[in-house]
Amino acid sequence: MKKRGVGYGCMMYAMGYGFGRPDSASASLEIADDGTVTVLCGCADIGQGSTEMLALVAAEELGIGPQDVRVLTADTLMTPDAGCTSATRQTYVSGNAVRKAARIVLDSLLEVASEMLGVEPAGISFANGVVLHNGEATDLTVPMVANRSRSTGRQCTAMGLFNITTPDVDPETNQGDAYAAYTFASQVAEVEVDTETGEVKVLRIVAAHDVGRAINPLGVEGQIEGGVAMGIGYALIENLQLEEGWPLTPSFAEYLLPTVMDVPPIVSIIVEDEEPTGPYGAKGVGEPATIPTAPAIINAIHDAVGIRVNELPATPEVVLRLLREKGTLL
Amino acid sequence: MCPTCKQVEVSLTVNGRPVRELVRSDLTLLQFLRGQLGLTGTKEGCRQGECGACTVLVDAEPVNSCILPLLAVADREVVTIEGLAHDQELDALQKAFTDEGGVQCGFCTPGMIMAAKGLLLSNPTPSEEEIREGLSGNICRCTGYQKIVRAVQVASGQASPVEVVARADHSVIGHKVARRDAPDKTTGRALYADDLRMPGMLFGKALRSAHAHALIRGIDCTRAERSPGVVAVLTAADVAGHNRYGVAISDQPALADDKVRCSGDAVALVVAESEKAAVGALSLIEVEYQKLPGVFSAEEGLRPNAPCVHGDTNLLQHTKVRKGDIDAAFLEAAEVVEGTFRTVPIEHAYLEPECSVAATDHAGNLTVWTSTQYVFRDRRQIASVLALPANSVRVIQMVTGGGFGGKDDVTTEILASLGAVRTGLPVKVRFDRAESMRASTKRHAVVIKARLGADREGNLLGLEAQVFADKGAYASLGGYVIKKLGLHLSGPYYVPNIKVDTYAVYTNNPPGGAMRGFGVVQAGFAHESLIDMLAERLGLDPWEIRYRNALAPGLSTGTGHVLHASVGIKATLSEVRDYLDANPLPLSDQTGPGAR
Repeated sequence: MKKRGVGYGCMMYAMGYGFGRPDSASASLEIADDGTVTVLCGCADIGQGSTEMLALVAAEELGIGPQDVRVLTADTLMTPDAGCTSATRQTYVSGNAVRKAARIVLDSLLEVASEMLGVEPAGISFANGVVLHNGEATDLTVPMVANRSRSTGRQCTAMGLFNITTPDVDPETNQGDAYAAYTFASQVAEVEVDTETGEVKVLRIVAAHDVGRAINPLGVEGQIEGGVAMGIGYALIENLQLEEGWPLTPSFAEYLLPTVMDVPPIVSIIVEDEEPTGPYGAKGVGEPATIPTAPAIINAIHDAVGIRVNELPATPEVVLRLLREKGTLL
Repeated sequence: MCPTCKQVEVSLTVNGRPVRELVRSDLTLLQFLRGQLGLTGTKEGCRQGECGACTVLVDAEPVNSCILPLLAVADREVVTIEGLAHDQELDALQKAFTDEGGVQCGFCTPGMIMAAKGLLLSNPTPSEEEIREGLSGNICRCTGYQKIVRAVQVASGQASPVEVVARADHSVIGHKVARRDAPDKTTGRALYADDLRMPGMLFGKALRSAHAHALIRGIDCTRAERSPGVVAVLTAADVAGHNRYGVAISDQPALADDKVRCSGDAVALVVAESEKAAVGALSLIEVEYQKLPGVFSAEEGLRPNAPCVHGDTNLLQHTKVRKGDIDAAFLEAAEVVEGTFRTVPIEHAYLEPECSVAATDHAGNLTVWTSTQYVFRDRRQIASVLALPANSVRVIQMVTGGGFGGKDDVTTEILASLGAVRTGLPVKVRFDRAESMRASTKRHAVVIKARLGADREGNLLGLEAQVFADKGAYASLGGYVIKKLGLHLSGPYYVPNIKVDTYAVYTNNPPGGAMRGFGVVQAGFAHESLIDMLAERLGLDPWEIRYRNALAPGLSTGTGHVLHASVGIKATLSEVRDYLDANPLPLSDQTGPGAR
C-alpha cells in the first residue's frame, strides 16, 4: 500500500565563521573613461553565481547597467583577498566589500558631476548610466563624469574592505554573540511511502527561505532547488560505506546520487526580512537550502506510516525494517 | 604509448568536419576529442559512464564518450557541444539553459545539453516525464534539475521563457538575471583546470596508502624511476618546507612520512610524460609498512586504550554549550523526548574531479591553476609546504565544477606544485573519481544523543545532548564543523536551558571536512525529529509547536546571542503553510495526506 505524509523541517544557520575567526573580504573597483567598470575580488565562484551577484551590487550602487560591469575573481596576484567561498558568506561579505568600493567611487564621481553641473552634490544621483539632478535626467552621463574625473587627475578607483570578525564566545559555555548574522528557513516535504517495498517517493518540497534580500532571485531559486536535491540524497539515498577505513562505494555506480527521477517539483518561496548590515539587506542561501530537507522528509515518513527513522539514509531496507518492528507491515 | 597498443588510422566526422587521424587503438572517444582534437567542452566526470558529463551525439544518439572506444565510431558522425552553435547563433537549448538558470557550475552542462539535444532530435515535443527519462543518465549536483527540465521545455517551445532583465531600469537588484558565465558554459568554452594544456606538460599521480593505519619503514622508488616515461618520483624526503597542511590545524602530510593514517594518504608522487605512464609506475614503488591497529568510529576512538591517530589522544575537540539551568528545566518539563540520531559519511560528489596545473618561471615563481574555493588559503599552504615566500606563489582559480565545501581543503594543489618545482616543467595532477572518493573530505558521520523537554503548552524548556563525530584521520575544518553543530542544536527556536557536549574524534577513516551545511545538517536532523516527537506527545500540531517556539527579535539563540533584526523564521513558517493551504496536492487513490 502507498501512504502519503507531510513533514516540516526548519532551520537557523549562522553566516560567516563566527566566534573570533578572522572573517573579512576586500574588493577593488575602477571605472574607465567610457563608464565601464572593472571589479577585482578574490571571491571564488564555484558555480553558485557570486560573480553575477557582485556585478549586480556594483551596478546597483553606481547606477549603471550590470552589462557595463566586468568582474575578475580569485587570483592571488591580481585580486584582493575575499576569504573563502564557504559559510554562506560571499553575498554578505564580498557583496559588502564591492558595495563599499563602489560607494567610494560614486562619492568621488558625484563631486565631479556637481562641478560639471554647478549644483550641490546632494541632489545628484546616477541611474542606468545617466546623471540625475533632483530625480530629473540631465544631459550628463556617467561616462562623461568618469572621463572628466580621470582627465583632471582624479582616478576613479577604490578599495572596499568589509570585516565581520566577531568577538569570541566564552570557551567554557560557548555563550556570546557568536556570529554576524543568521538565516532561517522552513521546508515542507510531501512523500509517499510504499509499505511493500519500503520505497519513499518525494512528491513535492515547498521551501521558504529568509535570505534577507534576493540580489538575483533566479540564482536564489537555483540555490534552493540544488540544496533540496542534496537534502533528498542525504535523507534517502547517499551513503559512503566504509570498512576498516576503505570506501566500499568508490564510484558513482556504487555511491548513488539523486538523478532527475528522484527530485520532485520544488516550490521556492523567497522571504525577505532584511538584514541591516547586509548589502541591500541580503544575507545568504547556499548552505541553508540543504539543511531542512532531510528532516522534513523523515518527519513526512513518520506522518505517512508512523515510523521514526533515527538513522540516515532512510533506504527501503531501513523503512521496511522499521515497519516490521512496528508490526504494521502490510 | 602502451607497448601492446597499435597505432591505427581512424576517420570520422566531428561537428560536420571530416577527421582522419593516426591514433592509439585503445583510445576512447572522449580521450580523442579532448586530447587529440582539443575539444575540451566535453567533460570527464567519472570515466565509467555513470555521470553523463561526457555525453556527445553519435549519429544523433546521445552516448557516454568516456567508455566508448574510438574505433567503434569509425565513419560515424559525432557532434559535441562545440558543434551546436552555428555562426555564433546559440542552439535553442544553449539559450534556454542560460536564461532559465539551468547552469550553475557548468560541468554537467555540455553533457546535459547534448543528452537533451539527442532527445529533441528524436522527439521534438517531449512530455515532462519523457524529458526526465531522457536526462536520467546525466547527474547534476548543483541545480536540483528543475530549471534544466524547464529549459528543455522552453527550448522545445512547450513553456514560456522566464522574464530575464536584459537592460537595467532604475534598480538592478531583485530581478531575475541570467548569469554572465552561462553562455561559455553552455558552449564548451569555459576552461576548467583539466582543460589546460601546456608545452612539455607532465602528469603527476599519487601512490595512495595500502593501509588505513601503518608505520612507514621504507620506500624504494628505484624501479618506478626507471619505468618508461617517468621523469621523477617524489616522497616526503623531497618536501622542502613543513610537510604538514590543513585548513584549521596543519596535521596532514603532503606525502606521508612517519606513518599513514587513512587509506587516502598520498605516499609518493610519480611525475611522468603521460597520465598512463604515471599510473603504470605506481605499482613499482615498494613501500615497507608496519601495520598498526586502527580506530574506525568516534566511540572506538574515545576508548581508554584506543590506538591514537595523532599524538596521545584521539579527542580533537570538546565543545561545551551551557545556557541556563538544564537540571531545573527537566524537573519543570511536562514532557521530555529523547533519541539517538545517526548519520553516515557523505561524498560532495562535485561533478568536476579535483585538478591543478602548476608551473614555475625562471625566477622560481610558482603559478597554480586550480579548482578551488579559496586561492589565498591555497597559496599559504603551498608556500609553507614548498618553503617559498607567499608572494612568489600565484594561485588562480579556474572555472570550478562545484565544491560544496570539498574544495575548501587543499586537494591537488600541493602535489602539482611539488612536481613542477622538482621538474621545472608544468605538471598536471587530476584525481580520477575513485581517488577523489578515497582522498577527499566527507560530511561527518555523527551520533547525536539528545533529549528535549517542554511544558504542557509546548514551550521548549531544555535541550541536552552529546554529539560524537567521526573526524577521520585529519582535522581539516572538523573542529569548527562539530562546534557549529553543537552551537546550532537548538535550531531556530528559543530554548532557555541548554547543555550540549560535542566531541570530534580522530579515526582512521577518510577525513571529515566542510560540506554544505557545516554540521547544521546533522543538527537539523536531530532537532527537527525531536520537536515532532514532542508535538506528538503533547498532542500539538507540528506547525504550531514550531511557530510557538520560533526565534524572534528580543530572544536569544543557543549561544545566548539576543537577535535584533532579520529573524524570518516565523515568516517562512507562515509562507509554507499558506502555500500548502492554497495548493494542496491531489489526493492519491489509496490515502490522503496525513493519513496513517
